[in-house]
Amino acid sequence: MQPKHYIANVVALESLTFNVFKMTLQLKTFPKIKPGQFLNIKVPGFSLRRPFGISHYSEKDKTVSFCFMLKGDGTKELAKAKVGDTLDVLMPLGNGFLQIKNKTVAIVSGGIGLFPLLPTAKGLAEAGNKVHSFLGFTNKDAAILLDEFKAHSTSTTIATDDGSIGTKGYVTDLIVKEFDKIKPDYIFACGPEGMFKTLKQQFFTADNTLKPQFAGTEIYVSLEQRMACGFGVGKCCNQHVKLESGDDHMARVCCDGPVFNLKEVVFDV
Amino acid sequence: MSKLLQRKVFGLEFKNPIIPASGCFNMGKEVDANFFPIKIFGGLMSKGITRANRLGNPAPRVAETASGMLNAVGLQNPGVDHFIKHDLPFLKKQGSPVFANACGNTVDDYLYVVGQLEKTNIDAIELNVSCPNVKMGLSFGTDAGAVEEVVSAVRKITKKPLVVKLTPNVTSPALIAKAAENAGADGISLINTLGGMAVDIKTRKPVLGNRAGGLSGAAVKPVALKMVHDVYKAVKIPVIGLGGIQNYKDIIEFMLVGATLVQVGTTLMTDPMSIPQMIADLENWCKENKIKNLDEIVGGLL
Repeated sequence: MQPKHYIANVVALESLTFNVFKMTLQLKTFPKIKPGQFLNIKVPGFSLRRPFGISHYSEKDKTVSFCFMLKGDGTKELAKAKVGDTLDVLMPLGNGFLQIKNKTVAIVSGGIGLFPLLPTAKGLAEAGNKVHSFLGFTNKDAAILLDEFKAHSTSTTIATDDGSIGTKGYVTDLIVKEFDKIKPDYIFACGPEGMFKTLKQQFFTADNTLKPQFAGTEIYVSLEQRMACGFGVGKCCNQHVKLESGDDHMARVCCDGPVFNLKEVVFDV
Repeated sequence: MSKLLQRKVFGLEFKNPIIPASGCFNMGKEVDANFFPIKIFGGLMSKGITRANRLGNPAPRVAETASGMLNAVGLQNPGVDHFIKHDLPFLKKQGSPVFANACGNTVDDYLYVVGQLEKTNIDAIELNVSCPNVKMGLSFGTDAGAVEEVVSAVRKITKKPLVVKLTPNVTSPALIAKAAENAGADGISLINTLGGMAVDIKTRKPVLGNRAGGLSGAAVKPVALKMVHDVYKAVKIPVIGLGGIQNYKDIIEFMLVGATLVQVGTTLMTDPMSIPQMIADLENWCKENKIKNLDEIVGGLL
């Protein structure tokens, strides 16, 4: 058995914005990765690993990349890594997005939620799906990876909080506005929790049925939660879910997710 | 695998002294599927099991601290009957002795959980009187009289080896350990997590959803070593040591202060592959130091 544990070499670390970095790691052997999966990286000097969505990978080159925003001491330390450093990584973790063929899919990202959606858009496009990307950012300076998304998308719509690029407003409003035009079979989303709550309100009635004007679509969201292990043993990254079967329980974001059917996600107050 | 690390404790054969700590291993399937065959552990341990299904505490349940972590999971588990049906067969199949970590809010709860386990082929019980993240669990473990009461009651209904897991959140764990021994416990395990808190200065709120939690990891090792040693000196029954074990050297330290077996928790979550490493390293250390049986070092502190 190949353990999901790798000692990887840093081969590139570039800044995408003033506080967002992209790190590329070289592995000796390469696992099968599904778009939407994540890696859990040990940051020297910190006791818990940091989980990041995989943004790029190449089985041929045995490289994997992830992007991160400077948020706290751990990410600041990670940004100090040098090319040639070795890092200890658990990967690939999590369930990833559904792998579907020849459908129409809307990608909805908020802020740095776009990273795991990039390989997802690529994989979907390669499998013959029509991809419409809706990317939300705070402003023009935060709007990154646009060309890469455009390369995999039939259409790419940008929204910013201040209107400095694209439409002023939220992607959650744009996807509702454009829904009839696109008629997506699936919506795949990743972003801050507020965005998921908005999607839930926009697409579902108070009794949790899909509103009739959106009939025929399924919405999957990639959630974030503080994690301890990243592979399901600690039960620290809980998310309340209620399945169609009525089964009401605390799921683990790391291994039951991070991708969940939005219909099943319960946002507790 | 050589027999160098073998242990015989509670009438059970362990191929090495390492057992996963409860709550850091779920029911074993994840580590087995993603990292290494769990049969390499000397013994196996369930997550804390209660009478009925528990949803656990609100998020966030984990916070990083200097050289450690706080958790407040709150014993999320499917309940003892679900465990027996869905998880126990997998654990038993591995060939290493299997412990169930039994929890409760009342003596009656403990009796139900242990009563159900008694009917199965599980090898041993670890009675958890020390979880800091449930309303009542800790109150048993902080009171020698209450420990004596619950251990006596459970002792009457089980013939299986009964280990009592103690909290460090008391003035004298040795006193509590003696109460457990008097009530018929076959062994003592310690330490469970140390009560702790993390604060977010932006929101001015506790980081954990449950406000406070339990501290584990390398930070607690010195506390654990002293408490294991104090308990080792106070009781005649075997002691299982845990608290911040990261490598084979830590295991030797725990054995020197009196641990017959050890448990690894936080490190199993943050560095699962350190387990096969510490087994190999411990064996090498024994060879280099001409140790034929780990009993030679248990309690060997000068």
